[in-house]
Amino acid sequence: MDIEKYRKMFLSEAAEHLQNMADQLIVVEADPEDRAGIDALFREAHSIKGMAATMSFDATARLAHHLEDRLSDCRDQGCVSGELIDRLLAGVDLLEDLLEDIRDQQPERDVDAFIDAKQPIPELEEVVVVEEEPIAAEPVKESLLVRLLLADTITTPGPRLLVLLKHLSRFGKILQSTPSEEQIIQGEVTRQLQVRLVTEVSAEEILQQLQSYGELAEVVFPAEEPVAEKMRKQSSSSSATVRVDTDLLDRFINLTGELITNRYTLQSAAGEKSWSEVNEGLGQLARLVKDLHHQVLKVRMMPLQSVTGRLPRAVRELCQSSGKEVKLEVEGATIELDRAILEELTDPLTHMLRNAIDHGIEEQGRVQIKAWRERDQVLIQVADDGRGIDPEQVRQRAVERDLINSTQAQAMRDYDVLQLICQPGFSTAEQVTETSGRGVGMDVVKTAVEKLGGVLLIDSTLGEGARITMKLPLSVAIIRVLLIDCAGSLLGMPITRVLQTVEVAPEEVQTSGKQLVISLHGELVPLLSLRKILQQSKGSPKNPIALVITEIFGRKVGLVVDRLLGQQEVFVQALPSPFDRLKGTNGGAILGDGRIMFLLDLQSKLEKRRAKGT
Amino acid sequence: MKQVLIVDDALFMRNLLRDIFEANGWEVVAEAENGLQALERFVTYRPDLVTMDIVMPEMGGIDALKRILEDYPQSKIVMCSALGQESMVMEAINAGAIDFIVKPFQEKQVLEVVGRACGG
Amino acid sequence: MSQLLPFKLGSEVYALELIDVQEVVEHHPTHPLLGVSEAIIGAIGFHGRIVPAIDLPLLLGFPAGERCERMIVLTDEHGPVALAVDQLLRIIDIDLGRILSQSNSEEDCIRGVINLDGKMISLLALEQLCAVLEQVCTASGDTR
Repeated sequence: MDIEKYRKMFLSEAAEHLQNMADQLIVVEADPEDRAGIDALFREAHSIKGMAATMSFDATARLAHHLEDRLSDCRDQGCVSGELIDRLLAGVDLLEDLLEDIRDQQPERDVDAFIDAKQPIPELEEVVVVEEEPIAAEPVKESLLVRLLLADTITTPGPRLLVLLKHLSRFGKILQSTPSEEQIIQGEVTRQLQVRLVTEVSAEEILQQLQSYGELAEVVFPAEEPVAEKMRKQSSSSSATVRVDTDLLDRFINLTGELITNRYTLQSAAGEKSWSEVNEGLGQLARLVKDLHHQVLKVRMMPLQSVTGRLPRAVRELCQSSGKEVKLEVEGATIELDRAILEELTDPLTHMLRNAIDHGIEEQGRVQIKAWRERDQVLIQVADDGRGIDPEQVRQRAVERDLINSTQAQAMRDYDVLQLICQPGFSTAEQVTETSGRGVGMDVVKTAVEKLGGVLLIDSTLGEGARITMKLPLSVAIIRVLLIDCAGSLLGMPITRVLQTVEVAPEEVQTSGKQLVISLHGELVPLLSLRKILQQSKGSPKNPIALVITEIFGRKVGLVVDRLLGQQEVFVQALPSPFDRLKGTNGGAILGDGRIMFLLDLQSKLEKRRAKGT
Repeated sequence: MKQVLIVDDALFMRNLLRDIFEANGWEVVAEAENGLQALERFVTYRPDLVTMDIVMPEMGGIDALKRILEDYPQSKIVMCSALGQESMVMEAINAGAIDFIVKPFQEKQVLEVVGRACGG
Repeated sequence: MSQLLPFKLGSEVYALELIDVQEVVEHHPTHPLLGVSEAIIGAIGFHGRIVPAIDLPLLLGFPAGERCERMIVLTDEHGPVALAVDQLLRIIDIDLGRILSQSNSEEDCIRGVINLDGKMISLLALEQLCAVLEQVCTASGDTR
């Protein structure tokens, strides 16, 4: 039996009943003798009880039963007291919490305290910090909140807080501690400790004992709980969640254990100045970190299947609307990619598929989607056996649309010409022509791929079909970059975006109109100065001049940089707010030597400028 | 007069602590240079307090602490730590050390901690 | 009672509440980011994270200059962001009820002013500061 399916059904239905109950309670509160209202409430509680019992959610069933009994009494009495309304509302709230537990696949929380309480019980303590054991049943009143602040002069806050925590635990039972003992031991650096304590000892006495700690700057017994409040705010803003295989989690735990052991090994080796042991430990550390990295990436990986799985339906619909007969073949759907990349692939893939069917295939044919890995890249190819793309027509159209001049058109190789269909403005939806209309929206596809640090390549043999290939990095987090120095700033460019690096002598630079260009393999490539783009002063003339050949908006350009610093694999971090709003950089990395590199995102930097220019 | 056992592999540190204790009305009943000696001397003298260095040859301070507490769970042992040994200190506290002092020792800090440890 | 971390911007004294401060870092090399507003110095590496470094005096309209070697890192709630200032002063205890005037201006990032023994201390309004930073960053890179 698909228990998961039933669980979901139960949850949505029970939530509806609860909502009805809550609404109805307000109605009955206004008119405590509303017979029909009381009947309705009884039925809702009864339904929840029945469903929960069927699903073996015992606590939920018991609580619903309890509410049902109380409502049954009301039916007999013909009215509901105001006090009972409060209690019933509290019961509905608790049921909502129980549904939350069930949704999270957690054990249901305790309901006995609620059921056994004679009076409407005081408000339950909110469990805000995720601790091992929820302590919801403890009423707030009996616990004491203590906040300790260490003096600034304390150089070893961790051990000091631990001693204090142990000391406090001698007064009674610690319900909650921020930071927790665990966090302190793991080295969370903080100078403040807040503890919720159940104790017989008075605050005065605790204060008196703690006064023997000259290390303490402050001892307070706050009425409210600001630290926990803050933590709750943070946890509520958490974004996307990921399901993780428990096996994988176990491996994380094991790795963490090994890392801790390694840390002690290193610490004692360093303490004894035994360099051979330090070296050995470092080797071990390198292995562990690599393993950890590998496992962490795995958490983020999903098979391509999650995207291609939707494509057969799209093909079916396209066939129906176009009257064509197209067979879709998918190969390599088990290849795994970072979920962030996959999420961005749905649109481009659908788009490429549509282009192939609408413009490539004539009456009937085949579209093949193939994925495979090449070292740290994943290649995804969409190939059709349609009529192919005619480079001559593309040439003509590119000239017509002023993307290139006729001299350039003649000088360009067919392969380079084909790439022009990805240029914005090459083709628009309103002007689809039979063969060159292949470019519809290809600029969008190309931009999407490039945003992921990938490249898009077009290849076609006239009469035999077209192959469009996306070369994507495995992960958005770890990529190979070319390091660039510009006016003392360290910049990086994903290696997938670099066509070539060259060094040229100043006399090789020519002018074409206002534009500086160089000739590369017989092709004239315009030069852009990175310093100028970044609004920096010119800098001293260099010989040779270092160039990064890359593509911006589909055009090959030579980027003039101060110095090329080689390649490196880096762990890219998204830039935190407010840097996420900056144009020109879309990530950064801290290198092994502590320097920070910013990822260069030229297109976003030049977008505005270009919009003005065209 | 309260009795103390000083455990440290460095003579300099032992002397320093001895001076502080003796100047303030404590009796230093014995000294030990490593964990093994500490165990022996603890059993012999049963002092009110032990100051225990962490990193020592033969047997380290944390092992010695655990061994002593196994047989004498009420023992009051104060760890002596250097900066950078936080995680070891915390391990010791978890294992039952009552408090710790940080090198370089300051007389005031040492007296406060040991005074508190012996409940006075 | 609250604890305030006062600091100088030019010759004026500003302050932050200590609970909004995550850490004060010293001698952290800043890594420049080019082509953006001058008030953005770049970033510092902070426990393995990239944290924006801001020239607070410049951002608030004080003249350019060498800043103090210590930077204030705000809590994660406000970024985190590292702020360069002209000089850090000693932490003071203060009753926040003693804020003299509640500022009404939207522009100056000041929450209020405190009179401490005749010295005026402006309390920074962090929400406003963050909003200003966002504006500066959004505008940065739009070619002038």
